[in-house]
Amino acid sequence: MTPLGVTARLRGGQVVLPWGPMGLDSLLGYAIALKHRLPPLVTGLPIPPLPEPLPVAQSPCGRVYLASFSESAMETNETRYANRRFPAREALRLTEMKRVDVSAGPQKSYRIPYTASHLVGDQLTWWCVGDADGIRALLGLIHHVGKRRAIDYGRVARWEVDPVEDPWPGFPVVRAGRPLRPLPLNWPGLTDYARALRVLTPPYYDRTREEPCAVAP
Amino acid sequence: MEMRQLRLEIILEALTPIAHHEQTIGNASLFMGRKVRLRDGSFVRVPQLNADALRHQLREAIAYATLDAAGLLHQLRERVAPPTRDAAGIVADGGPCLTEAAARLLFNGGMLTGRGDASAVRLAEWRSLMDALPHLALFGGCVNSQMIPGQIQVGDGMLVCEENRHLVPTWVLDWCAAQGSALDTCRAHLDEEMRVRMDPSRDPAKRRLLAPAARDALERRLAASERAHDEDDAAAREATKSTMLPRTAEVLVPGSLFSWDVTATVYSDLELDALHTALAAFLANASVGGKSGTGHGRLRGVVANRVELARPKVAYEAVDLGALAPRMGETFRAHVQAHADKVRAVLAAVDA
Repeated sequence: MTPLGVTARLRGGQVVLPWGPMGLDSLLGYAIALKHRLPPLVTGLPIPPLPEPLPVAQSPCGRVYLASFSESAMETNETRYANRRFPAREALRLTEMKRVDVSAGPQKSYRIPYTASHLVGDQLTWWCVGDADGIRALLGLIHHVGKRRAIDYGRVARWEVDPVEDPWPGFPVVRAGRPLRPLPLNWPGLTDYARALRVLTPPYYDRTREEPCAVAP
Repeated sequence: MEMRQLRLEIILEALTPIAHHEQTIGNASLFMGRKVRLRDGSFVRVPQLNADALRHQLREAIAYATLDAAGLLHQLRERVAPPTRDAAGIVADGGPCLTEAAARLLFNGGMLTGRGDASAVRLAEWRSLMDALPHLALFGGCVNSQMIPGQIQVGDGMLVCEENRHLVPTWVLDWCAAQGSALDTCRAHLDEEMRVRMDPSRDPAKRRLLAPAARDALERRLAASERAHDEDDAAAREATKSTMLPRTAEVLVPGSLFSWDVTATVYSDLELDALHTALAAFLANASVGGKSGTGHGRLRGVVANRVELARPKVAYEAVDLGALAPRMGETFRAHVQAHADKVRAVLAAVDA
């Protein structure tokens, strides 16, 4: 396990990041789930162990993986819309429905706005202590990051995993006293942080496991 | 079969004007566009075929292919009597055969209805669904209070133009160069059409078809309209104006080329064939956007390449769309035909 910098070079299109930065450990866990075709997890249920370990080190206390959340900067945003219309034409021909109500209920049409962004330099960067080859192998299975990947947002052109020759104090999860990922409140070296309820290990969408954490202010 | 990740890159060509709009301002419809960063760092809005629309077309194509292979469309065509249901609620013969939930699942990907137990992953049921509806694994969906993540990522149909030069695959540019096709700006591909919905009351021949009372009322309205114009009475003019509706629409001109791709993760030959079936069924009669009733939106696949992704070295393999189409789907069709009863049972009971 060595100090590493991981960069996703995006193809130059847009990415949708409604929940902010992404954890490198969650991406690697997703890649393992993809590789072994694991079924989706259910929020609130116990999380089964992964069939293979993540190629990143855990903290000595075992509470977090030594991997940062993504660092990126928005260059410009655009509002896009997700539309859904009930298949009324097919319902007419293929079902026995008497009525389609598109204004309310299960057949309701919707048009939901979301923000698609261009990132400065078309890249996201993570820091971690891990096994470079193992990380490369898993990230090679991931071709899109962020939300709305099914319609090609966040396409990754290539992944770069490079050694960090001179890691800073607190590497890879604290820099200049500021957390680079949610950390336990008593994490050493934290001086510039805010308190928030966050999840410490993937899957981060399982908010039933939230606890008070130190996050970037 | 091991997990495979592949990307099919296809050049689509517009056979007719494409009317794929994102909004209407007044009477003018504007073409769907996306912000693109150019090499010099500036941003420009470039027309494109929306990935949502293309992904939906693929889903619709494979849904019909599934119904056809399971004998459900055939059953519909031969409807001769009101539908009858057996004890399980499955339509035995004749008549429409889908429930509302089944239609939503097949054509929209379903929804979480809030019914049922969402507190456990029911693996046996999950596998059974994948077995009955192999395309569900590819496209994903919400079914029986479970979210099934999809395995395909469908790209935008990127207009092959000067603004997108740095985004389209190199082989697409090479192909265009080999065809002697120079890239032009996106504005050169856009045209503006004007159409008018006519008012039949303005045509004397059609007025003669009206009943006497209706014709009298119309004549009075026309006279009032002329009077309003003569007297320059804005309110009366508004109240008596015709229903003629001129409007304009931006369209992409026929012959426009689009670089389109589908990235897929597949775990079996059946899933791979389901992907091929969806693509072949879509490309057999490809269309996108609106105004299809007036000859808009027809596309054709010109040339394609398949790229294996989860391999150490990227290798392009040319795909002959025309030659592949008839062979595609054999495994998929055979599977669905063999599981037709299961497909019917799943569709009859599904909550989506």
